[in-house]
Amino acid sequence: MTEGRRTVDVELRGLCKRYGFVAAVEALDLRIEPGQFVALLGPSGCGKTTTLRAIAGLVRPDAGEVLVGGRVMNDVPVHRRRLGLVAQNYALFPHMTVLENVTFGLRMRGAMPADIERRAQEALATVQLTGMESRYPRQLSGGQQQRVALARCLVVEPDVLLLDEPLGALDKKLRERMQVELKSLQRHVGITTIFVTHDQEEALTMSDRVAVMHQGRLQQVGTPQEIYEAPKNRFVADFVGVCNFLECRVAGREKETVLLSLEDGTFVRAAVLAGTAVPPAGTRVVLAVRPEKVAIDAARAERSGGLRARLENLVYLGTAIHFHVRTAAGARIIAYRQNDVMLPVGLHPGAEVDLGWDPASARLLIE
Amino acid sequence: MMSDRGTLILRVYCGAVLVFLSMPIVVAVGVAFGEDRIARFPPTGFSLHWFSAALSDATFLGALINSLELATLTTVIAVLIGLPAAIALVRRRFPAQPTLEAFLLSPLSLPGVLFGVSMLFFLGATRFGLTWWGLLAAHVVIAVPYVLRATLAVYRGLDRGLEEAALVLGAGPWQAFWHVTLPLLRPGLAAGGLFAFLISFDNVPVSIFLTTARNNTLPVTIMSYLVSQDFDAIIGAISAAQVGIVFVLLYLLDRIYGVARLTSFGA
Repeated sequence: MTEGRRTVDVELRGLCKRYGFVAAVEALDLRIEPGQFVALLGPSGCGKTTTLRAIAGLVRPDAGEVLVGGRVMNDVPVHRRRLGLVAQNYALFPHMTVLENVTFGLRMRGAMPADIERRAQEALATVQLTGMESRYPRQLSGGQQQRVALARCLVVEPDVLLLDEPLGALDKKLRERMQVELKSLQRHVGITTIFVTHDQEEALTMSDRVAVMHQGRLQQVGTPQEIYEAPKNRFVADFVGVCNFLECRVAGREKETVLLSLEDGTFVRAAVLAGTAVPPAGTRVVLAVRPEKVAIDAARAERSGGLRARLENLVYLGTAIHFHVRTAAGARIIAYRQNDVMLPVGLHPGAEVDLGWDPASARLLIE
Repeated sequence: MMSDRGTLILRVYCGAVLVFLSMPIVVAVGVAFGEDRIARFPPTGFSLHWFSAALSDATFLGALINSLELATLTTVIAVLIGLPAAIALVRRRFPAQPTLEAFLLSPLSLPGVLFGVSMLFFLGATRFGLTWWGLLAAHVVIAVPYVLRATLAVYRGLDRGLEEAALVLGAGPWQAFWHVTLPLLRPGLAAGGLFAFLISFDNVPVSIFLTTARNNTLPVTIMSYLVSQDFDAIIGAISAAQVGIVFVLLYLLDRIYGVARLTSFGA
């Protein structure tokens, strides 16, 4: 299926869509490289589905442009956009068999009957549904329906594949299997893919790049690692994974690290990313640090510059232990610890603990 | 023990309701097969004489053919109006939408006699006069709500994503309508169309004001026969024929769009 396929890029320029007074999508700029798998990630109502539907042509943008392969698509009707769409409920035609569903696009485009048959069989083989041709959608399981939907849109060799939470209706086990299948299928076909999801784990594991959206605006675009390790703002840090936030003020700068003062007067450090301006001393900022980056130890007699806190709760998960602690200033912090070494003595609820982290793994967020 | 008795009571009750509902039809049909001209139930003997008598009566035969033509054309026109109206009401957004829907469905709540009289005045005042086409127009007005309501119900339950999927797959708007929307709406259209046919086929209150001796419908002819004569076996035969036509239609509809098939859509 890969031979002769052209891979195209998708570009959104200043995309806007309002419903009444509510902006569903606001001034969205996004470029998706040919052949990439990009997730639009965000909570429900963040505008990710509206964005996808605008690319498909099912929603008319109020402003801005949708470009596919360098061509402005705004005035191209839906059926001439050469796209593939898999909706959350798959939208299989209930009055058609699996084969009729899969051949629908080819028949509508007036392909030759011999060609239709051959390509449909190829597509069904790709999604491992050979032999199911004469079944009706209602006779298939959720996973099979999803594969029919995929075969139905891949068979017409679309330029771009649009997936709107296609795994949302599946149970957890099947969902994880389909994540792997979908990703390897996409790599095999080499098609530019835009994937809408509210599941951050799914976005991280499947995508080449993740675009995080919130309240109609793009928050950050980057590789899964960039999104997780270097979130640009509090929303991204909070939505993707678990994150601790500490309100503090800039106290000064020491080489590559910023010195920050907490409310109770203790000082903590965070790295300064290359090319980032450090705000002047006294500016209110937020420090973000992931739970797995926080080292926790029983409090020592002499303080070594860490953060003193009290252990409130301890959650034992088998492979890991989660420590819930509270600082003297009242901030809650969670620390994860792999269960690979002996648990230090003195880590029990109510105990005084010292928290510390490598400044390189703490992020400074300017509100 | 209690549940056994409960079941028995329920069965007797249901049986009584069924007898109550079907007795008038049984009587009318029974009389038609009897030997006496005067209506007698249970009928004495067995004969098809009254059917041939009814069919050889030009008044009844003409009225039957007229009613069938009228009902068929009413159904076709009601579908041609109801289907596009349903599509506009479900898929388009415009300010007057609720008003238009209420307006199109309003003949349902208008007393037939009132509408018949109004139509009579209208046709007179506009100098159209009492023609077969005026009668057809009146029947279409009262039939459209049935087509519209049944089609709306099916269309509103239909996932919009199906039509969108067709478009994204490369089907033009007309192809999407023909291959996806229309087949999925067919149960609603069939049910609505059947209702439209039946509403026209046995309408009295509207037709009675708009028919003339030249274009009498079957129900109006039966009515006037009953007013001047008495209930006899010829009327029984006519009624039996009418019941038969309706029964055949219902049977065909059930065979083509059975209840099981209707409910399996959209699942």
